[in-house]
Amino acid sequence: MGLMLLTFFISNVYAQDSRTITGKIQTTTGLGIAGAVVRALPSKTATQTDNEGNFKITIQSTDKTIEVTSVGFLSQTYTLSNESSFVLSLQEDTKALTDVVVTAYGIKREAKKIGYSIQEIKGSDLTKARDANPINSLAGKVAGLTVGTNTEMLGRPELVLRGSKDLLFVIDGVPVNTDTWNISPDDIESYTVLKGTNASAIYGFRGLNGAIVITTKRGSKDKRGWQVDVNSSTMFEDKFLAIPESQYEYGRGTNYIYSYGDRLYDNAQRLPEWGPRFEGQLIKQYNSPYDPTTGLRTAIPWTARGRYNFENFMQTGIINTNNISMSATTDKSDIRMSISNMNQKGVAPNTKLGTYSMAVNGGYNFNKKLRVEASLNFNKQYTPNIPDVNYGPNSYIYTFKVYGPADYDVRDLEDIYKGPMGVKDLVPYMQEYGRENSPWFMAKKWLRSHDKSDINGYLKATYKFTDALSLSARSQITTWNQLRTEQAPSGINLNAYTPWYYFGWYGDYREDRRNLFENNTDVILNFDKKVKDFNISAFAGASQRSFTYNSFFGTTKALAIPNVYALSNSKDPSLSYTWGSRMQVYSAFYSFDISMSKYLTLSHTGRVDQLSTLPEGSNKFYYPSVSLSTVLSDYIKVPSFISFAKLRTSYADVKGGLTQATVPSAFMAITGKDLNGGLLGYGAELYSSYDGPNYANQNNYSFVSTYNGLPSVNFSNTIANPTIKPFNRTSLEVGIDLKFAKNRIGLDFTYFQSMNGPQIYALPVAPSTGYSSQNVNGITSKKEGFEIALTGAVLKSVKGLNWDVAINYATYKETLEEIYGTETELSLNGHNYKVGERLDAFYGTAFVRDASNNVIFSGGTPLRAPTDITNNKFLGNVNPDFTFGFNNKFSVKNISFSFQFDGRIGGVIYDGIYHDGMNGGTAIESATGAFGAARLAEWQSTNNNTVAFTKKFIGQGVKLVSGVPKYVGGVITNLSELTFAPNDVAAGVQSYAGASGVGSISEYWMTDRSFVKLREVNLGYTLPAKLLGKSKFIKGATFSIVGRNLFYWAERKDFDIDQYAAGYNDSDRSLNTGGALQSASMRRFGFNINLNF
Amino acid sequence: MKTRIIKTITSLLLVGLVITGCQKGDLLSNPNVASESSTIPASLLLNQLTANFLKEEEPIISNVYKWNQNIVSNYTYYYGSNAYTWTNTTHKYDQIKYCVKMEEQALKAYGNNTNVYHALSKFFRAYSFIWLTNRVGDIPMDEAGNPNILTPKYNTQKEVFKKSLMLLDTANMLMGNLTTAANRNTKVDATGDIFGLTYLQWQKVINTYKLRVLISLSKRADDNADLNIKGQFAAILADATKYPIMTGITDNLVYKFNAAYNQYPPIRVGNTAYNNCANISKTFYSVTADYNDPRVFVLTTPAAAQITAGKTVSDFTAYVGEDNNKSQAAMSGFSTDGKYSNLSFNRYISSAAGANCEPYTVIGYQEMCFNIAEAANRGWITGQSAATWYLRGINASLEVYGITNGKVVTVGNNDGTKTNLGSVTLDVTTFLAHPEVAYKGDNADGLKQILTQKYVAFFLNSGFETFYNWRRTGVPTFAEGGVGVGTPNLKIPTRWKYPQDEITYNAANYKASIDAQYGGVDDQFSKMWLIK
Repeated sequence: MGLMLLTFFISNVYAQDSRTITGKIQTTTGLGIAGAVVRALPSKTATQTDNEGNFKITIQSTDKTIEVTSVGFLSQTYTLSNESSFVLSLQEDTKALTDVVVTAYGIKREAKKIGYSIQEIKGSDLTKARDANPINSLAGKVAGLTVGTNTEMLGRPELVLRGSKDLLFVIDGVPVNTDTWNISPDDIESYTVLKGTNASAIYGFRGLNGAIVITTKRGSKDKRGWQVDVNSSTMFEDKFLAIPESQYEYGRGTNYIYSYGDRLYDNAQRLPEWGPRFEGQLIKQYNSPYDPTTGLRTAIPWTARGRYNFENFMQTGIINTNNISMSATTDKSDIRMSISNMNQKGVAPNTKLGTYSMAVNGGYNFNKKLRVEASLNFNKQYTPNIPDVNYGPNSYIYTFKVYGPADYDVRDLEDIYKGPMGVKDLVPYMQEYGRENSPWFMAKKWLRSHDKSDINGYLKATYKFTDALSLSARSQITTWNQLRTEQAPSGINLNAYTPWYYFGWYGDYREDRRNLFENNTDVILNFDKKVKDFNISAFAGASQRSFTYNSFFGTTKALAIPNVYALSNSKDPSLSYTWGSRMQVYSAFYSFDISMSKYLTLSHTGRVDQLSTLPEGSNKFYYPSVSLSTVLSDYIKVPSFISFAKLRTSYADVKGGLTQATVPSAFMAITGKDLNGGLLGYGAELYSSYDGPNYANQNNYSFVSTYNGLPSVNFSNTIANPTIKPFNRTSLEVGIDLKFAKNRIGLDFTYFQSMNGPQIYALPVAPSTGYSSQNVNGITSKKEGFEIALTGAVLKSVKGLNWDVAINYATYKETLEEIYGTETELSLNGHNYKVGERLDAFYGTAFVRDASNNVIFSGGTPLRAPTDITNNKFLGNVNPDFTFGFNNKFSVKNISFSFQFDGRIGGVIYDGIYHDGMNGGTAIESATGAFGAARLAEWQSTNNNTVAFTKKFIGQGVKLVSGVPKYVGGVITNLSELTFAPNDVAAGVQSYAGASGVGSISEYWMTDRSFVKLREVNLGYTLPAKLLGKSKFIKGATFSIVGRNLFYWAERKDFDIDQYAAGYNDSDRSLNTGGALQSASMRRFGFNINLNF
Repeated sequence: MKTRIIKTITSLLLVGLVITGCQKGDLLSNPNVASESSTIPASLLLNQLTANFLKEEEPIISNVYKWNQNIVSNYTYYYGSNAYTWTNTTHKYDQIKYCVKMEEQALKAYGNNTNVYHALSKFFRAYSFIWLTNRVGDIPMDEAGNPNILTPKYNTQKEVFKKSLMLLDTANMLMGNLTTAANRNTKVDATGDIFGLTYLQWQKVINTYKLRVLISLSKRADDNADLNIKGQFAAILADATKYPIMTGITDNLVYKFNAAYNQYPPIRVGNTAYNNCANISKTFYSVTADYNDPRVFVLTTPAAAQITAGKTVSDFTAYVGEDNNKSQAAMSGFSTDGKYSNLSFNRYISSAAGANCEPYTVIGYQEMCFNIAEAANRGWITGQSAATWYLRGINASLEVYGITNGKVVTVGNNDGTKTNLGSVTLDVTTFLAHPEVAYKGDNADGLKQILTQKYVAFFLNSGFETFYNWRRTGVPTFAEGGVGVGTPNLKIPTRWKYPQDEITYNAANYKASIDAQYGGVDDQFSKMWLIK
């Protein structure tokens, strides 16, 4: 067989009489056109122009003409005589929009024929002002795509497309499993965003929410046949963009009292920052001289010595990225090799992240009919330590901004085992031993490592039967392997977050291993033919997806030997959890486009999936999509200022079921509790990209241990439904593309409407059944919105100033369309939603008010309505009204300058850091304004801590004097039966700012979700060809100065709203009201060097 | 040529397939768990039932004990609010589900329905139904716990009690048949039963619990002859062989905490440092410190300000309770002014396993003594002396706390920084002789004493029993009418609303039941049949 193949693959090209012609293809203004196809006729010998528009072609003696075609230009024919070179100028095709875009399955199509919304971003646009995460760079560039850039190292951006998360990533035509970090931006030719179901229906249920289709770079088009590119960028982070401000007037303590105990380790105090005012008075503190014989501490002056603790602790972050790629092309083959390396030094000391990727792809044309392509990408992420962020003593934001007293100087703690409190390798030297940890001890010893290897690649063979018909077969793998570890060092303070913590313990060790393997094998038959006025392009194929996933989570229950981080080194028996899954999907699909002359293009796709996750009988389903487009300006006389007009519409219906986009740790998969709320009580639960089975429709017994390590079982709380059907989503889209003024201005408008459901939904049941819910096909939501993309070449001049503008705008609303059966209310996210209501409406606890809208008080604190779901009040919608991006690009000769603003306007968000910082007494607002005045008065009432303080804060509003309020919907309905008087009852500031007062009233902490960011600024200089002319070695060089996240506008700048991209998420029906702690977001400056050889 | 090409491509494809392969076998079922049809040892289900017997809110020093007016929180963030702002109740139907599953699996394993798992299942069913009916009134019972009946019909509260009493009788009978001279002191299931009780002890628990249920029906004892409340009560006391009951505190059903997995609640939730956020209720001291009750010295700490002012730890007036009526804003957060007493740090906070405090009683002998005393006082039973059982109850309670006459104990402060503020010689004799403690006879005053001492014996244990006894009898007098009560009318509620999902998803049956019971209004202040 092998021999047969070999014989078959070796083919000969017979030599004839021939000669070589060189030349240049240029625009009417004389600029070279790259990539133009130069074809000799009738021999059909062809070549392409290089970057400068030059070509070289060997023609046969029989050839009479040269035909030149290039996207965006009118084709032209040149009649040959005996010349050995010629220059040809092409007319710009102002009428047609002949951009070619990559669509599903990597099929390139003319944009004008596409009947659904799609937007393409060139990879080269994203490699300069770069982010450590490549996908973050898409922020603000695509109408309808929201990128919630994450402020955490190795944090995954939250991608939301038309209100849906969990987008499918496709690289070179095949779905890949990605954490968004395993993509090397330098290897990417283009990103195509398939916006919604209509564009991605052919991918089946995985394409439900739309897809990001990535096309990687291939072999060079350079005339030498090879090319080397180098890109290097370095960015610095040293300025905070959004950060909570802290007070430095009061130190730790409560009720204005503080004293470190007369002992070496005072571990009984877990105090907030409601202590005495800094007035230099003498107070026993952590670093007071300690007399071991008497066991007494000496009081020292109480001062704000740590006012700049956060700034003093954080360092300049650096992100350095380098890429070298080499590509080569011969008439039979093309190859590209690329290697990239990213090194990030975090702003928190001792944190870093590296990624390393290697990509090789190549194609070989065995003969004119058979082409084989292979691609292999390897990506490695590694870090010995990245910070963790949540509400707990493991995070810096908690340490500095929630409970961040200025009464210690963080620089004093850098010697982590300083005596007498510190004991080398055992007990850290800390500012307290109750609630917090020394930031330096955390930085040096509490380490969280991450190590992940990703491999994806494919082997593909294409056989061209004829020019019109080809068959390709491809087998692809996407696999990754990840290990995360956490070392909690000896003596670290965990309060009592974990049951096995005790003061002075030896620490803990955790390990989280995950492994995913997926293979997609497909066979596709392609047909492309022009028959008279009809242009038919079609493909049909079958694929098999095979999926396996395995995970492990283990933890010690306190270490036995300090500083030995191994699961076996556990004081009490260690705990371990494993969780795995398997899945198989068989699919058949087809797609065909028929263009009828210049009038119409009709596209239709269909797909049948058979999923192993659904029971027999309902595991096979078909989803169709159909789209129609027509270029009006091709056959109707339009006003002359309109150079192009296209109408399009499409419809799709997608089904799927019992899979989930992400997967948590084995611990959570088994116990149903996340790490933070379940086992150790700290640490953010990590969700990995998954797209596998969720087993949510099965009654089963699972292992659990509730008491003293004894074995027990849980039985499912959800009643499985053996007749469950796949969920359904239909989507309708209508759009118009217009170009004005000779294509200088473009307008793209899309309206979409999707019916999301009936979903597979765990509908609650009466608890008297013994169960909490039953699986039903229920809940349909309706999404409706529109997107506008406006592009304009405001100024255009070959030698002068060019100015290009791109503006995008997107908005949508999601409402409840149908619940289930006769149900009239859907109980979700703290509210009973009725049909027609917006699902992103947030209901929560609110102030109770009188007829004049005054806040009503009772006993000095705000009166509260009963706390059941029906008394939650509407606090705003959490989805923004609209999102926008505004890009500007200027260029004069070799200098280019670009900047981008983008943001989201409207909606509300819960300001969690504000709430936590007020409760902790750290937020600046707790010591300024009315709170500040009352706080000072209360402090003064202690008479320098000789008597208990007198309460001084009187909330503005009225107090309930008599009567019994009745409530409906959180509002008093019998105001006329009640009497009120101005509130004159004082409360303590600490108590009022905390849970007894406004702390438990969500309304108080809601803030505007709108923000605008100056996302990126890029000033570039390309060395003129003249300068490079002499040295043939360097062919191009561009230097840029870049900035990212330079300015941020928002109502409250104590946190970066950007991260909270999702409001209501229809995949898991959650409502993201914000509120979590996050690391301070940073401004970033740097430079970029791009060289081509 | 064409066939060769096809062969080529096919072989390439095959290579791909060989690398990955088709996955065979059952891909539908979750490989990480056991399917519904699996055989599961009944012992694992018994463990589920016993380990989750206490609802989340019930353990020692939880919210319940604020509503029982044992303690008062002065700081919301750590100890929550004192307000009686009850809304929708929780439930125990999950236990019914596990009873169904345990019976199913035990039948598979033993081929009969007379085994110990079936016997205990009857008890757990009765306990769960009564637990819920006490909170709301009528509840689904006959049709409950069945995934095929999604809208179960309601049984009246009277039916629920009647049927639960029958379940308890069956449980007793089954346990009686299973208990032999050889196994009476053998644990029923060493790993499944977290309470670690023997066959005989379980039978005692069942009957002792039945006495609690019967006495809780005191308001309906005269007008519901068909329930035969008094007769059933008397029958238990009349036949100790057929109906063994607890004979001492070693028979108590207690939840034992352990350091490694089930830590003592204040330690588990990280509240060791906030003992000063929980003050002792004035209601408690009004019937203990005022009566020279030695339990005061063992369970609580003196108010710091009183000690600073010169009082000794043995002075009952140094123990000052906080008023549940007061708004939290009016209290001193972290009791920094030292005006009020706290729980004994030494006893309740110092050990993760709760090693220095009493085990948490769920159903106890001390309560049973008072229940019998009450029945005797009310004339339900003959041949039993209310006075004797009353005294037995007090002594059993003292025994739980290790209190004996003349014992010397040290008293520490509220945050553990001073474990010895002084010592006290416990004087049980004077206490028992106190005019408010010495039994006043089988009359209303005597009954009030029985109920008062039961309240004291319920300190930080037995869940909502304190509240239910107060609701039934009004003894002792609870603080209400103040802002601290937190309800719109500042009164203590008498019930909870039904679970929200019951209201929403069993609407027709719920509505019918609310109409029949409360004239269509599901609010917290209506009176259910039990206490009408």
